[in-house]
Parts: sequence; structure tokens; C-alpha cells
Amino acid sequence: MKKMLAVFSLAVLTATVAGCGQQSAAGSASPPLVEAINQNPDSITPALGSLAVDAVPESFMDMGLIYLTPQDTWAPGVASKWSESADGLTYTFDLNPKAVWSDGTPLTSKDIIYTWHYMTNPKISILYNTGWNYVKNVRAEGLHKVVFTLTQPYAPFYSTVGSTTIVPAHIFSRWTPNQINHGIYNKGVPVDDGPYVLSKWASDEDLVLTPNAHWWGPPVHISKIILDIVPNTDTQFNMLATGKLTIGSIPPSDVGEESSLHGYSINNTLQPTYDLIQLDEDHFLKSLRVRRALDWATPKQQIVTDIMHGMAVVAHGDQVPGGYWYDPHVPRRGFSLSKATALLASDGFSKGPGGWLEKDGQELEIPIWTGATSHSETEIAQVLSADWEKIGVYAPVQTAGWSVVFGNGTPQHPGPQVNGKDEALIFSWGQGVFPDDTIDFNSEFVPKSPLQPSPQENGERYINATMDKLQSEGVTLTTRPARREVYNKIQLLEQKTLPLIFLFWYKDASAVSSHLHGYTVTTFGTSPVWDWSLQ
Amino acid sequence: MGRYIIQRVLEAIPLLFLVTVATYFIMNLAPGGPLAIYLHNPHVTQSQLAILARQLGLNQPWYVRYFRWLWALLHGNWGYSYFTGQPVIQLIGERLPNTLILMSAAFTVALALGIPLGVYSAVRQYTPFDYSFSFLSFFLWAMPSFFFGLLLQIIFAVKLGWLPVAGMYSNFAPPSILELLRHLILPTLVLGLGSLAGWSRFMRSGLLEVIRQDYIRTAEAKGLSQRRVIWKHAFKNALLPIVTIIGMDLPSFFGGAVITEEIFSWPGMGRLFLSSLNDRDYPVQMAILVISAALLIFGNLLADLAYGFLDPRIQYR
Repeated sequence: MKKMLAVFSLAVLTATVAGCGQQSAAGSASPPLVEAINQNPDSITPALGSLAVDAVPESFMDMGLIYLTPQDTWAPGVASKWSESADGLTYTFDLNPKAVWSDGTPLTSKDIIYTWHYMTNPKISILYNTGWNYVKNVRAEGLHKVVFTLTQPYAPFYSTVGSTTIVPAHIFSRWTPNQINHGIYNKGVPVDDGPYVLSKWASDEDLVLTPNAHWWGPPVHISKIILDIVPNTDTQFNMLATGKLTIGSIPPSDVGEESSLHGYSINNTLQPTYDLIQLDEDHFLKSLRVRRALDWATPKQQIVTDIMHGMAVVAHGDQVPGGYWYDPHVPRRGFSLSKATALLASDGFSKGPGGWLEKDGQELEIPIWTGATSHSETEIAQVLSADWEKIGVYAPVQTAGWSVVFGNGTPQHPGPQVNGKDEALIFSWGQGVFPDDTIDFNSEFVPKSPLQPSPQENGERYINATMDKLQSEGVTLTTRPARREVYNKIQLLEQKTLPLIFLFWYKDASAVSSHLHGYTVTTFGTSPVWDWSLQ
Repeated sequence: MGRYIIQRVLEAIPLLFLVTVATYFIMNLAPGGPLAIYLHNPHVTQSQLAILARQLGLNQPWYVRYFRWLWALLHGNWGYSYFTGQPVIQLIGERLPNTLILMSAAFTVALALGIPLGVYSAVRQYTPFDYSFSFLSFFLWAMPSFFFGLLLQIIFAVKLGWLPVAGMYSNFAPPSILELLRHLILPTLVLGLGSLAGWSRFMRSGLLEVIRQDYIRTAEAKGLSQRRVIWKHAFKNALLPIVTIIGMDLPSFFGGAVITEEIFSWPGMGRLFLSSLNDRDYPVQMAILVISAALLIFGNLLADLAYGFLDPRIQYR
């Protein structure tokens, strides 16, 4: 009896505790905006972080010279005006004289020059400084004007340099590279130039942002933003179901369950990330007919419908659909096993004693590799294997950790990318919303030796002189229409010569509270935070 | 006793040294490496990787790196995370208190309920209670924690709205002990009930074995009450297997619970360890593994010492 009483008392205590919290939550006057993120940022020190999630707090805290709008256009940030010379070698930015750091220090051309030195300092563990390597000099013309001089015309300058985070010279110049590398900036309240400042960062728990008292741009309307770190997508969905998140992602497994979320609108946004099959051109895969046959035998629409549950669209090239650089007129190759079979026969393949196609006594064997941790990629590999084997290609599925799939392996067991055999690798990729794909398909990026490691990114060893020439034009031509013409030609060349088999573009489903106004999200990003309000 | 403890501590030093060598060696055998995550980043160039490798000392053979790590450790420096650049001790310090809170709560539930229920089940062997509790124990034991956690979230947070889904504190109320307790309930149930199921089974079988001994029969024949026989004569001896298990569980207080912490967004050591494994963050992995190994040795020592208190026949030399 006493034990029963103890259990009852525990239950009463539990209910009391549960009830107490609910009362205090209801009494809260000004609710914050709570956005779920799936990982703890590794660093918010400029250019030192390596995770995609780092961009979320930084989008509230940092303002570059210019920023990209959700409509895929450039808008003034710290720079109120900007221009480029006709030869593409000089970029000039007029800084907004109102711009100040969050500690009240004026933001001047000195900070831009310091940023250049910071981004090119080999003692600082900069993960990537794409674009800065083309900067020859940064010159100040007074306190509020800077002029960049490049070593060669570089068209993606705005997306790689112009929109990058500016480093506060008066803060960072006090520190040694070693202190910067060990995250001294991440401690305390980092000084930034964006609309919000980081007021709390509890590792693996949350980041709290509050309005920057010295913000010089349009006023913000949300008094507190909490980035709640929720690593499990099902947990995130349950938090949405209880109304505890303002913005959260819906995992693919829960797509279709959105109707159980009340008070949310659902956004399905195309992501600038595509899934692909990399065909390592080592032996039979050097033949364009073989690659085309495999493309015909790839059931892209079935993969989108059955495996991705419609949360993707079939890809026909590497420029994101709907974007400025996308060419909708590129011819498409559908799914036809008969066309695939005919192409292979015309290339001299015939059925061998083992039941698989062969040529010159060698079987057409193309193992399909993908990461063991990715459930959907594994399913895609299995579907692909079944269809490729229907046309006589021996295509066993191989799964391993991504570092094995992309790594060198050992001299005895080289990785699939470097073993000198025909292999197919399935993974996702994206150069962003910007068109430059030089590192993917340019012959300069073919691994120089069998054991040359990535990131010589042209792992498929695709070599095409026309592609090289077009890509060179794509990054050096200075007008957008001229560049678009070049990228249209590149997309057509991709369709004809198949450096990769493009599978699909990912869609992201997110739930946004109906209390949040002014928030829009597109493939290119979200509306600026000063447009958001909670009602 | 003092001599015995000193002897065991001295024996632990070479053992810990061997653990560090073996762990470091095996870690470096794994394919990939700390920079593997950047191998397919479109922006990270070969020269940038070479600079990073040099800065992190990854261009050295594994044994050179090991001895550097060991030398630094002997001087009280646990090193820096390859991934975040922050001191390892800081990363652990941020998360350890959260793990201790969660694991202590789960341990308390498991101990406070598991032991009495195991005793009751043994005393009432083959009764409806025993059958029902055995069924429930196996059910809880067999239930995967990720499934059990999500199930509890759906019932108590989504459907009933009694408890929060995840986290340590509410985003909509100031941090308080009550808020912490509310957030503790579900992860504690997932962890605590799993241990409760196991410990109660060990307690039940331990007690069943003891109550069949001659000295228990003698006690009963002398006319002692069942309560006195169980709690005074049988209970202490039946505790020995449980003490061993609890001693072995000590490292989990430090290491946390990977799956439960992830499901309930609990910012603890389990998540740090998982991310350090995924990122091949050797300094963080080594720190967690070495401290866990030390705690395992310490837990076993404590269990061995506890035997002496529970069973006077055990002597320490």
C-alpha cells in the first residue's frame, strides 16, 4: 500500500511540475522567434567554420558589402553603391557612412583592407578563400571608398568576395592567428555589423540573438531570435506539432503529415543542390555511347516519385531551375531500356557466357558506390542497379562511409575514385546558385595521377576542350547576358557529352508559423530579417 | 585496505597507457581522417588542405602525433579540437554538467525503483505480479531507445501536452529548476526505465539464488519474519551482481547517452562524442575515451571495495 502511495505521489509531483511550467510559459509576454537548426555551429569566426549551419547565425549577425536577395539580385549592404570597370579588373565600392560595428566603432575602408589581409593570411585556418586569390590589391580612397584590383577578370567576384563577411580590424588585429584559430572570437559577445548580436551560445543547446543597438540599417521588429539546436528531424516535427517552433524543417519521412501541423504554412523550396551519378571514365565509361545508354536506363522520374516522395524535381543539368542561368530549352533524355540496349549493341557489346554484356572478352561491370549513412542514396543505388542489370550491365551496389567513397584508400585497396576501374558514384552536390562549374568539369581539375586525392574535383576525368573554353569565358566575361549565353552552351554540352548523369534537384519542406509575417524563402535565400515581424 | 587501493591504482597506470596507445592506433587505422570531410567541398583547395594538415600536425606519422598528445596530456593540456579549434577541456566542461544531471536522474529512477521491484518480484515468484513485471521488464529492455523516446514525445508532449518535447529549458519561460525538472522527465524515463528493467531482473535472479541457500532456510526455521529474512539476511548478498553492474556503468555517467541525448536535444557528452567520431576529431575522442577508461577502472575498484562491505568473507590483501 505504501509503495502504491509512493508511486501515486510521484505521479502527482510529475503532473504538478508539468503544470507549473505551462503556467509560466503562458505568462510570457513577448514570445521570441524560435528557429530549429540541426547542428551546433562549429565556428562563427569569419571563414573558419566548415558547416552549412554556420550561415544561419551569420545571416543575422553579418552584413557584407552587398547581399543576395530572394529574387536573385544584389542589394546594398555595407556598400551603398558599387561598380566594375569594363575590363573586369577593377571593382569599386562606396561604403555607407552610417555603417558601424556593434560596439559603436565606425566601419571604414580600413576594415575592408584588413579583411583582404585576413582572408589571405596563411597562418589563419581559413577553410576556403575562393575569389580572394584573384585579388591583387585593395586600395582605400578615403574612409568610405575601396577599390579592388584583380589579377585577371573574375566574373563571380560579387558572389565570392563582394558578399563575404567583413572582419572588424580593431578587434581581430589585437589577436594572434593562433588565438583566432582557437576560437577567441566565439567567446563572449562577438562584434559584428549585422542587425543582431549573439548574446548567448550554449553549445549543442541554442544560440540567442538580440537586436544590435548600433545597427545602422532598416529597423528590426523581432526582439529575440533563438536558434534551437535540434539534431533529430522527428523531434523537430514533434516540436512543430506542439507549436514551439516558429520555423522548422519537415523531414522527408513526415512529408504528407503536414496536415497535423496547425498554425503553420508549408513552403516547398527548391534547393541549389542536386543528386548525381559520377561516371569515372576509366575504361568502358570513356565511351559516350555507354554513358548515354546508362542515362537512358536511369529512371529519374521514378526515383523522384517513389524514393524522394516528390520532394525533388528531375535534373537535366547543373544550373538550378528557375534561376537566371538555367536553360529550360536543353533537350531531355527520358527513360528507355530499349534505347539503352540498342546504344550498347551499336557500341559492340554482346551478351557473354556470364549473362552480362561484354566487349573484347571483358565484362561491362560498373559497381555503384554510395555513402552507407544515406538511406535514400542507398535506395537509389538499388533501383539503379536493377535497371542497369536489365540492359546487361553488371552493377553491384557498394556502400561505405563517405570518406571511403571519396578517399584514396590504401595502395592495396585504393578508393573507388582512384582505382583505375569503371565505377559509378551517387552523391549530392551543388555549386550554389552561381553558375561557375569550372572545378567540376574542367580538364585542369582531373586528378593528375591515380592516387591524386580529391579535391581535384573532376573525379570522373571528363576532358573536353570546348567545355574548358566555355568555362574560361564564363568566369571572365563581364556582362550577365553574355555569360548566360555561355552557360546555355555549357548546359547543352553537358546534355550531349554527359560528364555526369544528373538525377534530381532537392526540395526542402519547411513549416513557418502563421504568426510570422514578411518572411519569404526561395531557392536563393530568405527575405531580410528586418522585413520579419511576429504578430 | 589502503595498501590494496594503492596497489590497484598503480596497476591502473600501465593499463591506461596501453588503452591510450591502442585507442590512438585504432583511431588512425580507420579510413578517412580529420580532413576527409573537406575532400568533397567544392571550395576547399588542395593547397588549403595542405596548410590545414600542417597546422593540425596531420602531416606527421601517427606515433609522432601520439607522443606529442601524450606529452601535452602529462602537462595538463588536453589539446584542441581539430574541428572547432577550441580547447578540448572547454568542450567537455560545457557539456559534462548536463550529462551528469541526466545520468544521475536516470540512475536514481533505476535504482530507487529497480531494486525494490526486483526484490518484490523475487519474493512473489510465479504470481501474476511477477509474470506481469517480467513481461514489462523484457518489453522495456527490448525497446529501442530512439523508438521509446519518440513514442513518449508523441504521447506526453504532442497528444497530452503535459511535458515539453525536447531541450533542457523552455524558450518561452525563464530558466528555473522546475523547467529543468519538466524537461528531465521524458529522457530520464527512457534511460531510467531501460536500466530499471535490467537491474530489477538481476536483483530478482540474485535474490532467488540467495533465498534458496541453507542459511536462509535456517533463518526461516528460527521463526524470523519474511521481511527480516529478506532485508537482513538475503538482500546484502543478492546485491553483489548489481554492484558489479553499477560499477561498470560508471563511465556512462561521463559518456552520456548518444541516442537519448539526440532524440531529446539534450546538450550532453553523448552528442559531443558522436560528433567527434563523425568528424574524426582525434583530440576530443581521445579525451573522452581516456576519461571513460579511467572511470571504468575506478568503477571496478569501487565495486571490489563494496564487495568487502557487503560480504564479510571477502578480504583485501
